[in-house]
Amino acid sequence: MKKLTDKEIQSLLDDSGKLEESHEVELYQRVFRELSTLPDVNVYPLAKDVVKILQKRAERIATIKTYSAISLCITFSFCAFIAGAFVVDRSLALKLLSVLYSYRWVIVFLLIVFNAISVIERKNVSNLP
Amino acid sequence: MYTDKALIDKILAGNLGAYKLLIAQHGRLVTHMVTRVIGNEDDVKDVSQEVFIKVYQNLGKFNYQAQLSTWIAKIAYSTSVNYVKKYSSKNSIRLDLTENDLPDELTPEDIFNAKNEAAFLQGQIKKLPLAYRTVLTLYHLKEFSYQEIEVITGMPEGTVKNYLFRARKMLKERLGRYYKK
Repeated sequence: MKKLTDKEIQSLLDDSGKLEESHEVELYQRVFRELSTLPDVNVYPLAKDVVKILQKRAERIATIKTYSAISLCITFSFCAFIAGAFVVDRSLALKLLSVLYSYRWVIVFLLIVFNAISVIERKNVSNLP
Repeated sequence: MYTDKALIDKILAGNLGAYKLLIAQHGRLVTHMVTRVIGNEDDVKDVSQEVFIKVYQNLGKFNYQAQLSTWIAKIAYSTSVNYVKKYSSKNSIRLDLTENDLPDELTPEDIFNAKNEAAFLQGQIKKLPLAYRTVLTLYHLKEFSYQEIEVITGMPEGTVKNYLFRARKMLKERLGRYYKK
């Protein structure tokens, strides 16, 4: 009988075809059996840990959104207040603006700090846990 | 038992319990794949977690053109390869392999240290290049088709078949020598 090539043996084993017993075939059968055996590895309880990480992220994102919304509200209210002051008393509004102008670097510094914290927080969220 | 579609809809609606179920269904697939690809059992848990976080973040983009398990396996494969790229030498992640790239000759230690046939073969599988280990795992352990393996790894179907053939032939030859010891 014609000797089967490696390719033919592999292909017949893949298709669960019938094979004449031989040393080569037996070796391949052992290899195939081992390849189909699940390796001895720990299957960790991933679900609980992953959900915990996702919840933590969601909470951090919600906190960032809340702080961003609060800061936007404060900025908007302040702008509205200045606009209102212009309508009611123009000179008072100008005085207010000049006070703000004298503290411009403090304001710029605070804005930079706030934005930096916000960017760092967002990065931290993507690097969780 | 939910269908993939029903489960995904629940997850996208914010049901984390449904996501726990999805992880329970595909946890073994991911763990086995990550273990075989990165070959470092200490980091399997972290990489597997990263896989499921990516799955969660991208679930809205899943378009049902492939099976959910194929899509998850693809994410597990790319995450594991990225891990290997980050922590291993460049050679260990080459995907354009020739027959000469198969591991060095069988050493007497390989045979002597193996407790039994299974341990010997598992040791030889671990020594294979990443691309071979991946193809063997996906085909034999998870029973993905050649086309699905192509989708997961991005290797052409011919390459997948070629690697599978070469790796199995090498393992058979090594096993033959193990018995001649």
